[in-house]
Amino acid sequence: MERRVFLKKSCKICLLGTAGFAVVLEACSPKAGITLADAKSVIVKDSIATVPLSALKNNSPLTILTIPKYPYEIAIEKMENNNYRTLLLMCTHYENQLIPTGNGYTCSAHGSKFTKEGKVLNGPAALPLKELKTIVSETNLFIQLI
Amino acid sequence: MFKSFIATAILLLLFFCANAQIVRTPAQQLLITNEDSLNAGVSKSKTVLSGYGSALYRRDFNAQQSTMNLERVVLFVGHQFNEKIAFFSELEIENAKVTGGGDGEIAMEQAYLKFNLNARKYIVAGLFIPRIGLINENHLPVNFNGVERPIVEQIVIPSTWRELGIGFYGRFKNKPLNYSIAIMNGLNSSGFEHGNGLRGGRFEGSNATANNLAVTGALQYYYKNFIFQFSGYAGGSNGLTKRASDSLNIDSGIFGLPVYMGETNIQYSKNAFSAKALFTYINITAANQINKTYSNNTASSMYGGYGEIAYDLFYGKEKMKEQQLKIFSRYEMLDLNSSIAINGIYDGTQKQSHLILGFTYLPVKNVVIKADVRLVHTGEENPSLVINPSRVRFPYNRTNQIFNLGIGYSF
Ligand code: FES
Repeated sequence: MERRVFLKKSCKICLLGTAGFAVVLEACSPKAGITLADAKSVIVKDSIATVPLSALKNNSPLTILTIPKYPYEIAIEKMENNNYRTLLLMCTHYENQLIPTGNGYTCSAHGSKFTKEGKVLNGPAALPLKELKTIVSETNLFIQLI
Repeated sequence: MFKSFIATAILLLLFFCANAQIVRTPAQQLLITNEDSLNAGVSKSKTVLSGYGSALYRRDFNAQQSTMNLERVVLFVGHQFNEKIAFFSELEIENAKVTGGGDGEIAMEQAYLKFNLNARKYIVAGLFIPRIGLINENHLPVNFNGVERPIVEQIVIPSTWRELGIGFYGRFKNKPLNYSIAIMNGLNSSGFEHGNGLRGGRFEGSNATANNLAVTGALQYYYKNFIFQFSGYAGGSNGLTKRASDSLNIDSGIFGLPVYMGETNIQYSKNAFSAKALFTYINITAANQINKTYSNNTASSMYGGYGEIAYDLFYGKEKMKEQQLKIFSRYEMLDLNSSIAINGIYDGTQKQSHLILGFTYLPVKNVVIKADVRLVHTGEENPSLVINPSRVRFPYNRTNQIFNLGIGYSF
């Protein structure tokens, strides 16, 4: 009996939660500020990733790139003067993979947080995120992987 | 003549070399300018050492007692075997020394292997902390406000709650939505203590029973300055064999004497301002069987929640850019016996509210100095639960004030 009451109550709470969550997801997803590059069009040779500019979504402030078989994601942010800032999403504490948030990056291992620019916001990490050397041509971005 | 010929040849050579650079592809340019790739790398085997710790001074005004304690010193050791496999561990010494009758403790807080499946998905196996609540995964003193961890996340969610098992963590490809699911050993209901929630029932990696198991999962969604999380836990709390359980007339099996927990939290941070709120609810459907067997007055359900706001006074001040001075306020409420079993005894002191006001000062990112005042209010004491009181015992006071001063570090 108690179990039934609990299940009933929890189901109601879950339904409400899920509905709220779905609304948030639905409302947020097109403008979430993060888009994903089309990883299929990325070519990696001699530790250099060639990313067609067409694979980056137009007007997106930030693109997260997953490179096949590469252990970390890469955040590509378009700056002024057709420059790009390319950050390796590897926590500088224990090299854990980072999670992109709406306004930076966070590490689930010990809680370090980084700004969108890669600066440390919360420790234990002490060093900023590694910026990857990047060159842009008319059609491609060339990113030096480490 | 010969010398000037050589000089001209070198100049020509330099000129051609310089011109040759112009026709290099961008990729070639990257290759020749990159020294880092020779020395660095994400796949090298390496061992890293770091840690955290905290110490505090506390004044309990009702008890008229001041104490000082080296609360914890924790050592992290991690090792990267290759780009796919890593080891993470945390070894903790609580209360500075471990002696026969003392309350000091040496314990493994985490010790697990992490297998990266790709950049967004990984598996952990060993002693790990499941994603439930905020403090569990994020318990470094530099990363939360208040000398003490939130009370709700100490006794309702028994942080840092680690158990043995396997967990799968990942993130959806095209939505900033993280998920985790884990299977772990269950709890031990014979260890539940009145007034301490589930805390005493954790195995923490030490000879856990695996006749009973638990599953836990979480969803986390990141949107702009918000983080939303839902997590849940369901697990058995009876690890005895069927034969032993039958002789005690209690339920057995993987989910025997089940414990259910639901938790949700939301965090917001923008510039100097941050806020968070958390709510959790626990249901122990077979509390009457636990009480009948172990006489530990286990409640049928408990809940806890808190809301916190903080403001960094140094935010945006160029001179103080390495420092943070956050003033904060947190209000917590909890009831460890929000419903009781037919054989349970209600204890009003377990229905509590705590108002905490204080500051968190970080002179550098990984060093913290904190101070706060905690105003406590509880329900009435139940006289039938006061057995053989000491003659010097103060009469129970439903309100109390606690002053805390603490330091902490992480690296
Ligand atoms: S690995 Fe990221 S905080 Fe430790």
